[in-house]
Amino acid sequence: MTHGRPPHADIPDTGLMLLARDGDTCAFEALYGRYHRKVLDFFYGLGRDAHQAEDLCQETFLRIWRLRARYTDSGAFPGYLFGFARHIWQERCRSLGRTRRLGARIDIDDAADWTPCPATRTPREEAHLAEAREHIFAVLDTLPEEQRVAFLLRTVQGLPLDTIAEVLECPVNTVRSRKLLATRKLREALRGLFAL
Amino acid sequence: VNKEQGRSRAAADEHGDIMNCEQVRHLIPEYAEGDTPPALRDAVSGHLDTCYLCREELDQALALRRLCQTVLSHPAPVNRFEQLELEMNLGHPRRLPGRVDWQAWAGRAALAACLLLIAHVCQPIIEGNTGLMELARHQLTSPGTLDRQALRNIRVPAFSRDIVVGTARIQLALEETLLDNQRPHVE
Repeated sequence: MTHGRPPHADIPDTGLMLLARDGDTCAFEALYGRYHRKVLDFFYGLGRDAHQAEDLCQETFLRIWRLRARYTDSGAFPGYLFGFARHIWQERCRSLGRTRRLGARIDIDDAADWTPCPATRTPREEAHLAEAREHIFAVLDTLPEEQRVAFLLRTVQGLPLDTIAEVLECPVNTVRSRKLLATRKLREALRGLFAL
Repeated sequence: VNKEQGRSRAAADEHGDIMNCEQVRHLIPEYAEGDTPPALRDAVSGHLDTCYLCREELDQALALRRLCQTVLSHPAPVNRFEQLELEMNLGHPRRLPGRVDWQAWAGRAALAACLLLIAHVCQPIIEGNTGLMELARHQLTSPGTLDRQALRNIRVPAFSRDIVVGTARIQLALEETLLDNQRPHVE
């Protein structure tokens, strides 16, 4: 019985994208539902700005829709998606004349609109997470863009190494070493602070 | 990084399941992500079953991974597909904040260039007309003393000379008619 289930729930990503290529907006909505959080997290990890992450996420999906006619079923969809996301991030950096992360933080007033913490976390845990966030972003700021992207896509998003290699347009071993360098720097920086 | 891991892998290949702590710790970040090849994974797992310190190292790597996943997640993810769908149907290019809209700027630059060109062309015509008006005024105050040389010296663009000269002739003809009417008739 499939009653009550979304009509595209059983279709794989590439099948949905092929349907979207033919103009099926429902299929594209299903893809959006599957991946928009991952894309949001990716941009948030790169730029630390929640509003900007939303803008860039919408821009990514909008561009994929506009260029859908070019899609060919030649690889994993996440690689295709994050390839667009990375290009949009690079365009954004270039447009602002900066090669590093943008560094815009959420204002206190804006932050009040968010409800980031589930009710299960205590204030002490929230304070600990806020401190960790500051330190992790500070370390990420020091990393080259390739290492940061490799780290975010592998460690945070959990994408396979070969998919990340497609996104970064480099060999799998290069992705592996970039991600390991980023992980080591993070561990060294956080070791004393969080007993890692 | 690759050299260190290469040495660890070579050691694993040589010694089978027997690896020392240093070799295993080089592989732990990769092991924590699940990126270790199957043959090495078994060797590392075998070591971790017996070594408390290396297992602690693995726990720390996993804790760091969980912490990063928590901390680097968007604070308030919201599904905005309806808004996206509007833009998909509108078909207008979306402008990101901070992005330079080169097409719009090119349009503005072209408009400015057109205005400058028009001003450049019109300025001599305006000046020429001003000269003509001065001549006409002089003609009004001193009838019969039209300075035809000055009229020829008025600088106007070649393509508009005919228009200006024609206008001047009409003006002069009108003024002469006016002067004729003002002169007393002698019988």
